[in-house]
Amino acid sequence: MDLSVGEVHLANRRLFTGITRDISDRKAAEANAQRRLNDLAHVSRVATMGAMATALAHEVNQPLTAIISHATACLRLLNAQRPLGTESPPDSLDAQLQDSLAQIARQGERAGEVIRQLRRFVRKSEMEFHDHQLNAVAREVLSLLAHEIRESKAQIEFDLAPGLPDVPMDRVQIEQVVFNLVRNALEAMSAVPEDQRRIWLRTSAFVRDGKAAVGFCVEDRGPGFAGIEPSRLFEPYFTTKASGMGQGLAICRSILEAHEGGISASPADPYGARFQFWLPVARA
Amino acid sequence: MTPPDSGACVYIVDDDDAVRSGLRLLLSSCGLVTQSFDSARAFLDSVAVDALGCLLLDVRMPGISGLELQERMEARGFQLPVILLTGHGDVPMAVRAMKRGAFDFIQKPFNDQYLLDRVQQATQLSVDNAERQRQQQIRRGRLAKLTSREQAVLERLVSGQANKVIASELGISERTVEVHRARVMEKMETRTLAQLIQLMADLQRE
Repeated sequence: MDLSVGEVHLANRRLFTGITRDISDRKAAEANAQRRLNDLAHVSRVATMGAMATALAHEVNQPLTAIISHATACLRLLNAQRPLGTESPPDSLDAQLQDSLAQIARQGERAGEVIRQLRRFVRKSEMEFHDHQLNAVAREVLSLLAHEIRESKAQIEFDLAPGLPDVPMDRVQIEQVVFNLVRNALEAMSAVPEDQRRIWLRTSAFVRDGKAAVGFCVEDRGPGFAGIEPSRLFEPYFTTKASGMGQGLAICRSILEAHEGGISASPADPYGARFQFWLPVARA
Repeated sequence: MTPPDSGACVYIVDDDDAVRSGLRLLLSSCGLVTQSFDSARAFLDSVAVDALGCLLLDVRMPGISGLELQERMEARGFQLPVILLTGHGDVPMAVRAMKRGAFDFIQKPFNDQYLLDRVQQATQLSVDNAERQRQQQIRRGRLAKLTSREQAVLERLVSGQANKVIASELGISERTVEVHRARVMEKMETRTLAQLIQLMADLQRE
């Protein structure tokens, strides 16, 4: 309940007015929106850990692969030098080198196993795929971002294709992607004069690689990529923001890959940035 | 073990210098011939479509990705078996690669013996396939050298007709059928009717 009380002076009389309002609906809506934001924040944290583990796995597996293949190759070369069926004397240089090389390879494999376990541990808690309308997801995210959009003074233009097919998705994750892309677009225009801040959101249905897909596109009139190769933006730890972690777009990419879709960035016409992602209508 | 003179080569495509050199050393320590490239583009620019051996391909690279290269190779008619290497091991990518006909999918860092075994098997497959195609080519050439009368006799022989039936169908003597039959066997380089039937079945299967 919300109570407001006012005092009125009328011809020597003091009057008090009281107004009570039932605001339970509004409170419920606020609580609901807060819960959705918390869900998204949770997905974001889990996905950040997943993306960091993926990045770490890749970055560390490359040198590990190099270490193990060099060590095992040397071991084979040493063995090939020895006459068939003979062993090197236990204290010989040969035997010591063999032991050491075998140790290098074994420890490399052990490190690889640690990485694999880490990956298993943070693997996104089982994704849940259900059929959803991309348009509904876009609208939902926009309502969650209503406050930021108002603050940013940006003008948003919506172009949602009618009759889009429902597509299988983990809804909270795709909301996370749309959320990241729209928020990036808003942030990209913080230095642009208010009356020039514009964002276009589009959904569409099309055929990609012979398969039906639905797509979502965000275009802004911010400064664009400033000469950065757009595909680099999706690399983990790559950021153009002063306080960024460089995870947002990497997370978007890994979410879309898990959905068997994709994401790309390109310069907008005449200027600004355009991000688009797509989802297959049917999963393989 | 594939003989080094078969012209087979293990092609390596990985953007990481240290991984490439490690793989080169490992494969050559087993007597395998290697060629390595730092990008899919470099591979496509210098390797011929009829290359023999196998390709060790890193899935995730800047520019053309491993999966895209696999697609382009298929479009160009490469028959080289592809073994994909990944530092990620993510399942959807592996499924897609295998669906597109990859020979195997190996997670980095890998067990050296397993990698070498699979490389050997893939290379053997490539060499065997090429040899079978060469043999088929030779057989097709021999088939083309038959006269039209010999071809008529061959068709009927393969469908199981007796000399007598063939003779009456073609309006020639049984003795003549026998002569044609002998010429067919000689030109096709087969000794028995069973061999001839097998050979024709193989040719039709292609």
